[in-house]
Amino acid sequence: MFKQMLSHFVKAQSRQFSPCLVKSQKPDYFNSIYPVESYTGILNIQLKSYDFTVLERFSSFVHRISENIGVDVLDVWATPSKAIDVVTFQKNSHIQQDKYHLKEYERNVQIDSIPASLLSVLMEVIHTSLPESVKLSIHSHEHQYDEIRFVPDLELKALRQELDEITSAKNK
Amino acid sequence: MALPRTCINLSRLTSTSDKICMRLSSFASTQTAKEKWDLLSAVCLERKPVIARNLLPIEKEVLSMAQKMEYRLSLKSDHEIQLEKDRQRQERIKQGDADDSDMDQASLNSAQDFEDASVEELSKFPFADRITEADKEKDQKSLDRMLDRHLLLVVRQKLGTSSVWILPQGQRQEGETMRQAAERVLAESFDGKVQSRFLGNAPCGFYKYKYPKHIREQDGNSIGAKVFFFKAHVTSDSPLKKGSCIEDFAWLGRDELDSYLPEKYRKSVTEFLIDED
Repeated sequence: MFKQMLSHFVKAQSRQFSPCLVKSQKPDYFNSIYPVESYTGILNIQLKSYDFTVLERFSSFVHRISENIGVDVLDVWATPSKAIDVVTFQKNSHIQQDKYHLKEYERNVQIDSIPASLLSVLMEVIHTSLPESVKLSIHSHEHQYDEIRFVPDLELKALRQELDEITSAKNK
Repeated sequence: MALPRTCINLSRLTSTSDKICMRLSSFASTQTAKEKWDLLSAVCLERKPVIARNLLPIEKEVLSMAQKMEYRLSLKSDHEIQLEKDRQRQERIKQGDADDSDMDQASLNSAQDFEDASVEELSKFPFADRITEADKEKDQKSLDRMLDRHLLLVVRQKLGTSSVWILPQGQRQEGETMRQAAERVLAESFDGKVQSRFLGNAPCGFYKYKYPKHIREQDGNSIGAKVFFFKAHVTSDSPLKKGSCIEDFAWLGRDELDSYLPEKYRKSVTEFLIDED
């Protein structure tokens, strides 16, 4: 009798929750009644600019609104700046007219597991509030972005190369 | 002693199943009313501001204060140090304390010359106009208008018997996701590819409306339509060419939406548009 009641209960449940009842109203990829939220992985919000006072203020603004929205902010860091030299020439000659030294600064804000719907809102807000001269890029975190932050240890590299040469010579 | 225990268990099971059955039956009763709604996707395509807005008086004051503080807290730049050295050298030459190195240095391009040349170059630089040709002509099909504000794409579509100004919308077809439907609607509304970037798969807004009574009463027809809005940014400024699905289109600023969109529809739409005060 217990088994009968259980099977009746299970049948009733499956009848009511079967997709055939809701097919005419919801698209067929809705196979559960409850909304399914998808979360993104680790994202980097990368801000680049030639003007670092504006850049620093804006990166702190981005950090602040991400935290206020309720997003998990993992890390905020500055990548070493790039020095860019621009040379202008006089018309139809290779005589230098002007030389400009520019520095492109970079700030990164790293966020983790943000619901996809909230991400579109955050992207819209950051894009709209971008100040002049700041470039925005939002991408998934990759190993290369970590590597750029560190100064390569040339001594260690040279020693490693020596070791490789010795072992290969031995193997021969 | 086993029998009473199983009886208790069963009673607990039936009581919970009753509760669930009650909840399920209430769910079932709304479904069996057979209200059929059409699912529509609409596109909220915006051209983001190209230039920054003019500052309010209070913003100008705050900016000047921030710049003063920044100047006070900062260290001297290379250029400023060079200027100081040059001035000190000039002083020494005047007073006759100069030595050989000073005389050599004095002949090179001084920092002051560099500064003067830079200032002259800046004064000669032609800044572009904030108010463009399209602004003056009030050309609503152009993307060059109102460079410091958002422009929203609004189209005139035929819904039933009347034409209304709305965001481009269309019904979802079999085997499509809602976002794919939105992308299709945009592609069909215009000739040629519209360079756009959709912001994610989740809709940003919702609007629901019922069809007129004579359509609703007919068998097999839906009661009305539920419109889900998807946000997109337009990424190129090449002008759009009207397709066959729409009668007309316009790029409107926030103030102009009042006179184009229907009242209730505009209220739903402005819910998800970024504030421009």
